[in-house]
Amino acid sequence: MTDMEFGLTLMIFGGGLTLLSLGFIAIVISLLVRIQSKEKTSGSGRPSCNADGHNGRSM
Amino acid sequence: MFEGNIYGFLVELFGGVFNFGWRNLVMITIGGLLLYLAIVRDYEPLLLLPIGFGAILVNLPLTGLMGEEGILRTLYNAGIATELFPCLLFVGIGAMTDFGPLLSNPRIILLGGAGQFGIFMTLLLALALGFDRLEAICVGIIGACDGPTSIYVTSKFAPELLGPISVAAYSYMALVPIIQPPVMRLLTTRKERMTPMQYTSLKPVSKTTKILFPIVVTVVTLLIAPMGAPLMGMLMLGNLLRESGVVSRLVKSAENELSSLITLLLGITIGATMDGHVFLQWKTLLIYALGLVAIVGDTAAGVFMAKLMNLFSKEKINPLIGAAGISAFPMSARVVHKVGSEENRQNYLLMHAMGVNTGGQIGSVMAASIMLALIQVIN
Repeated sequence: MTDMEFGLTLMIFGGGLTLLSLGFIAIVISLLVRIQSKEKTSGSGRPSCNADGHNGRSM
Repeated sequence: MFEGNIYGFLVELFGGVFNFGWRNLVMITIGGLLLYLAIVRDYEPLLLLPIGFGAILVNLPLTGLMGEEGILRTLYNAGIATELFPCLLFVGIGAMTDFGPLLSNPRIILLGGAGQFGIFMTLLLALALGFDRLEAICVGIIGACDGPTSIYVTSKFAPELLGPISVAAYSYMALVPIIQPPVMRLLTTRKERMTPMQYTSLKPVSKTTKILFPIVVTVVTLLIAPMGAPLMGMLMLGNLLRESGVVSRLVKSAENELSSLITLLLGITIGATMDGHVFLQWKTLLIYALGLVAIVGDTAAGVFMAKLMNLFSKEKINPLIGAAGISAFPMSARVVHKVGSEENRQNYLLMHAMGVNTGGQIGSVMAASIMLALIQVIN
């Protein structure tokens, strides 16, 4: 394997796997957020907003 | 008493002066420049100040600080050679990071992935310019715009390049407000830059989700790239401490004492690797040039990814936030907000860009972890 083949392999597999992993994380987070907000609204009748109010408060 | 040997006596007495060469002078000037940037220009002072002073210390002849039993060599062996310092620093970073904006709009994590494009592009360029494979990976990782990740990967694969790569990574992180805006303006139209994104469009996120997030990310990413465990594991441990809400003492320690102490030791030890004989070579200049290319590439890829996402999405995002997909946190998000608000004062991009920026942090660690895993397989 030449150096450039090595670099291209890393680029294609590395870049592709990074995006795929992050995409998978995004899907899992979306599901988590959806399940959580459903539980909040159907469970107690309270609004889905949590006690902390809006996120990102400490940024 | 010293008859016939007065010269030898003077050489021994003033050994520092007699052994002072042009390399020492250049390196002390570079150390002074880093101190100037840190103290006068306020560029990444937490790191550049100890690095600059370390560079001066180690380039004063006969100090023995990096000798076999020198204090800086001991620190180097304990914290850099073992990769302990960058990993511990990640605990502090995790404890400081609020992933809330990312959790409220998860799809923007993809922009954090696109923001790593510069790593791979620079890797190819470095190979074309004659760096060997492991060196090229370390040069490419500057594109992550993530100091601890750069240090971790470089100390593993090319410790002799630790000085130039660390300094390049931190210098470019400090220069993000200068490097990114022209690229962002060049790649977007005025209309695109004015695309509205309101603060209120961020959805609320429950505490449970915030607690589950670091656990889920750790499991998912380490199943894919176990080699990244020291980086991702420590980052997410810090974040779990923060979000759990039950260990405020540990969070404060991680955010303050641990981070400050490690930053100090890391900085001075990196500075100590900047010996003139190692630092002053053509490779250092190339590393700086490639680092710049990497960050420009990251910025461009993030903006293009945002445009691509807009093609498939009803809810349009401002392409500028794609530029925050690098790991320079929170500098890059602030730059995006500033450029966006220059075009449209009603636009509030900061929190959206913060979300992308934290996605960039995960993306950079993920990219590094995957590269480490791939190296084991294909090298």
